Amino acid sequence: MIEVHELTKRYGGRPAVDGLSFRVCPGRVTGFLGPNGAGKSTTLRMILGLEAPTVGTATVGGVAFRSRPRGLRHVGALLDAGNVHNGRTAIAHLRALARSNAIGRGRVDEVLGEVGLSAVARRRVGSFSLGMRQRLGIATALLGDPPVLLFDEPANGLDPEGVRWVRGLFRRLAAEGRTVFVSSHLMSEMQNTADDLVVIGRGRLLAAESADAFAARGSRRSVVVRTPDPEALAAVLRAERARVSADGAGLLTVDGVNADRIGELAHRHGLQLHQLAERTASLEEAFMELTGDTVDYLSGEER
Amino acid sequence: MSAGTRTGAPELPARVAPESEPPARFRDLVAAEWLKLWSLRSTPWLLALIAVAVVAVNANGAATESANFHSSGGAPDPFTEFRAVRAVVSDIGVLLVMLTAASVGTLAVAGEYATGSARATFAAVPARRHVVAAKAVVVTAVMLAYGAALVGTSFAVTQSILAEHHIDAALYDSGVLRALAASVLMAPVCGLVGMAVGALVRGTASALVTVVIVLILLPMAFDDDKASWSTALDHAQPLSAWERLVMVGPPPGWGWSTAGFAEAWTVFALWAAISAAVAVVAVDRRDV
Repeated sequence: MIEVHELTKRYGGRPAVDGLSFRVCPGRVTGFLGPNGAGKSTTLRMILGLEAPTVGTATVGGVAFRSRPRGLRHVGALLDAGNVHNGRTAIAHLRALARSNAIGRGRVDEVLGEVGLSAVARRRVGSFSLGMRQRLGIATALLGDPPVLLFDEPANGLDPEGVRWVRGLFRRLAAEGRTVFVSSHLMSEMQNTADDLVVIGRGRLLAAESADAFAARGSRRSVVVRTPDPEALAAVLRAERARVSADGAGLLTVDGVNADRIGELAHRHGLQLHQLAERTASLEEAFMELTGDTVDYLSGEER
Repeated sequence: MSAGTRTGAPELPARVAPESEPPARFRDLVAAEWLKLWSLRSTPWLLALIAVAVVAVNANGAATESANFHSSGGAPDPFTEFRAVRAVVSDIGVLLVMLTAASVGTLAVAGEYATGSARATFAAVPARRHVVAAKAVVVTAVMLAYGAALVGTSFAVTQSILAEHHIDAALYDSGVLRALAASVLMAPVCGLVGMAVGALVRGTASALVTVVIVLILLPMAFDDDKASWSTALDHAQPLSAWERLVMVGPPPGWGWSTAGFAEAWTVFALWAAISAAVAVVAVDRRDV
């Protein structure tokens, strides 16, 4: 369990993290979302005690992580794949960390195998691709077999197989009853992985709820209808005060009337339907809608 | 603020604490820092290359000394022993050792910040003060051994060259052991100064430049020949203290001749202790 209370970090001017409060529960994968520069990494670093909050507290299992003498058995973290000395081999990096926490060498070989780096364990990290570095970072996080795991943008640099693998890993870790907190700036990465979501923008909390509840926020619930007679159907629907847009090839997108009602109306007016589907709002849309005005680095626009 | 329960999610036993945790031992941190130091290829290479250079420079100095003595007619003067000792611990030799020890100490700390591995280190061991203390133990021990090996080898090589004309110094002659000990200790003192600078400056290049300024250029900025605050500051530098400690035979009548050996040892001890404290506090207090 991770508990963050009124967490604020100021580096001089505008706060990077501003009065953030949320809880991350065990046994679930929690996505930590926000646009670039929203304060996700700063929050994770404060949870790990690497940065001191200006105001507020962050605890893991009820204890400030910084007060633990050794950390790997309590929290495993992948912060930045670059947090390794390029001159060391993967195995030397892990052995030193393991030794500092009295973790045996056998465990190092185990996690190297688990992330698929056994074959390159004795190569210097400087020669690793970003994806290999991510895997090494994940191996570091797993080293102490901890009940709480933090991953900062773990999918960066991973190939599609790697992305599928980390998703499976997160699900498995959560199924083992662990707390899994995964940051990302891409909602699509969370679509089928996260049970819960914590969404922030400009350092402030925008939402903390289950992924299902979050998806339901998407306000534009529309229905897609395909019919051989789009004009007639459109006229019927407009009479019901629905907003209808046609693509000219028999496909209508309808807002304001649900699918049941559209089927009923079509039947009553003797109109044939080839397709009738409710387009459920995606997490992505809900995310864009929510964070739209908190994006710091918007492409194609001076702010 | 807690997230809602997803319908259909299975009830799971929450893992909130590690299964078992062995006691946190300082020696595990020392062992980890030892692994980190030697798992960088640059460490053994740097130490070996500098060792060869130092012994070669000193041997060459002893050979020149021996040749000069021979060509000047061959009568020992009051400074013969001083020159014999300075053949073991030459200016160039000690500067090379200072630079090497200081860079090992600087990179042990600044290298962690510059590469970001500090985050991995301190996420694994939140007790940052203990990590820096373990680093200081490793840097001190390695530099002590390195200094002893270099001074020992240099002593054997240079004195066997000088022995040809019987102008060598014996280990138990007055002040010889002191001069050798001071030269050995110069390495760990500079290693610790390097750690302090690395903790304060963090960027490897700027930290290395800073440590050179502090240890080597700073003493040049002060007078050492008249009673003034400038001389006092000069005498407070490790390099000046070392110069005093390696004086054997009659005092040459300048600089440190007015201050004693005890003051010089104190300068060494204070630089080591203050540097270690600065490194510990700076790493502990500042955000990673």
